[in-house]
Amino acid sequence: MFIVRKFCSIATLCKTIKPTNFTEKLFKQQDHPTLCLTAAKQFHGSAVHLREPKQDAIVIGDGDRKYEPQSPYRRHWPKRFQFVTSTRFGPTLPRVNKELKHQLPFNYKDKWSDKSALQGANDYIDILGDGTIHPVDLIKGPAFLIGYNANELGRLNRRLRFEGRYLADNFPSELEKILKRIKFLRKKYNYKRGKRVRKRFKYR
Amino acid sequence: MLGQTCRKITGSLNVSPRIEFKRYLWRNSICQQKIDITLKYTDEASGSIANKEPTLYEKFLKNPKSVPLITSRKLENCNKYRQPRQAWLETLSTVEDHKLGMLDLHPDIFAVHPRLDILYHNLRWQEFYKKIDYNWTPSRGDLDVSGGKQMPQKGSGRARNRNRSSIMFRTGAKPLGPKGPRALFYMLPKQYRVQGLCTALSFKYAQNNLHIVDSLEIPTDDPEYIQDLIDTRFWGFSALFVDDTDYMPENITYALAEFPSYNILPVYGLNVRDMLKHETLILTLAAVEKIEQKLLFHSSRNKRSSRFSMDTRYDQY
Repeated sequence: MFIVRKFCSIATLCKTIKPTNFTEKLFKQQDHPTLCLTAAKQFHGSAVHLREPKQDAIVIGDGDRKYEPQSPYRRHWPKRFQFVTSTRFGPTLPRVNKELKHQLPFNYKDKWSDKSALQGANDYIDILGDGTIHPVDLIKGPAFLIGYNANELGRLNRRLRFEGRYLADNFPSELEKILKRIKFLRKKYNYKRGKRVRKRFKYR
Repeated sequence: MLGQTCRKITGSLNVSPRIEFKRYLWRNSICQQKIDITLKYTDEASGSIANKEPTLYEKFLKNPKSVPLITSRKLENCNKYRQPRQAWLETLSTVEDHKLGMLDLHPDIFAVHPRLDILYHNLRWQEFYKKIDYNWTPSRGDLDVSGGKQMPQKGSGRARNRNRSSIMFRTGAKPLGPKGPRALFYMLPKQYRVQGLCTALSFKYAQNNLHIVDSLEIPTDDPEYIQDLIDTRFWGFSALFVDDTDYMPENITYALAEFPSYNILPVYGLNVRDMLKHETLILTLAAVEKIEQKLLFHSSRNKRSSRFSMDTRYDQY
C-alpha cells in the first residue's frame, strides 16, 4: 500500500518533468544565477564554473537509453555534474578608482654619466701602457685592503699591522673588540672545524 | 744593482710619463682640460703650429697623387698560414665619407676565434676587482652592553634571558652577518686579459663597428659637425674615439664635451667593458700600431722572458 501510493505520486511528477528544460538551463552559464555575479569573469577568471559535458557524452534520447522510461531518480545529465572550485585566479585587476598614496619617486639611472660611461677606463694599463703601473694602484679604499682578499682572521690581523698603533693611541675600545674577535676566530677556525663544515664554522 | 739598471733603461725608453697619466686620471673637469691645453700650446714655440705636419686629407686635396690609394702596413710576426684582414682608412675632416686607402690588420688580434667565456671573465673581473664591501654587523662582543641579567630568572611571564646583546632580542647581535670591510679583489692571468682585448677588437671588426682614421683633427669647434658626421655614416648612438696619447686636438675635445655617449680615450685606457658599451670604435693609425705592438709583445711573453723586468714586482697578485 505504501509503495503503491508512492508510485502514484511519482507518476504524477514524472509527467511534469521535461528533460530538455534541465539541459538547456544548466548548460548555459549565462542564465545561472550564481555565475552571473562574478565580475570581469573573462579577464579575472572565476572560482566557480560549470563543467560542461563532453561532446561524446550520452544524451537522452540517443543510443542505448533511447527507449528507457523517464524517471526522476535518474540523472539526465552526466554524473558528478557539479560546481568546481579552483583557487587559481588570473592576474590582478587594475587599480582604476584608487588613490595612490606615498608614491616614491622613480629615478632612472643615468648610464651615460661621466662615471658610468668610462667605468673601466684604465684596467688594462699594465698591458697597454709602460708596465710601471698596475690596476691595483687604481683601487680606492683602506690601505690594508688594497690587493688583499682573505678571511676575517687575516683581515683583522692585517688591520692591526697597519693601524694598530693609531688604534691603541686613539681608539682603545675598538682595539679591544678587534682582539676579542681575533681570539674567538682563532679557536673557531682551528678547533671547531672538521670534515663537514656547517655554516657556523665557515671561513668568511 | 739589476733593478737600478732596469730602472735606468725603462726611464730612457719612457714615452708617456707618469705626470700626464695622473693629470688624465684625476682632472676630469673640462675647465681644467682647457687650461692645460692652452698652456701647452703657449709654452711651445708659436711657430710650431705652422710647422705641424699636414694630415693625409690635406695632402690629398693639394695633390691627390701624392697620397697612395693602397697603404700596406708591415705586420710583425705574421703567421704565414693566416691572411691579414683589411680595413678602410677614413677621415674626420669632412662630414662625407672619403676613403684614403686600405690597411692590413694583424689576424692574431683582429681575427681571433670568438671566445665568449673569455669576454665574460674579463667583464666580471672589471666589475669586481675594485669592489670593497663596507657592510658590518655587530656580534655579541662588539656591542657595548652591560653583562647583567635583564630580569630575574623566574617571576615575570617572559622568556628567560641574560644580556641585551643576545640574538633573541630585537636590538641584539647578528651572529653570521657581514663582518667588516671586505675586498672582492682577484687578478686574472695576463693571457686572459690580453685575449679578452683581442676578442673584443675582433668582434668589433667582424660586426662592422670598427673604423680607422688618420687623425682626430677637425676643422671646426661645432658639436653639430660631429653629430652630422656620425649621422651620415650611421655610426650609431654611442662612439668611442681612441688616440695614441693623452693630448688630444682641442677642437674635438670641445665638440664631444656636450655628448655624453661620445667619448675619447687614449690607448692605455682601452678596456673590454667600454668597447662593448659603445656601439662603434674609432681608432687612429698610430693607435692601431701601438695596440698591435703591445698585444703581440704580451701574448708571447712568459715568466722566463720577464724575469728581470719591472713587471714582475706585481707577481704577488
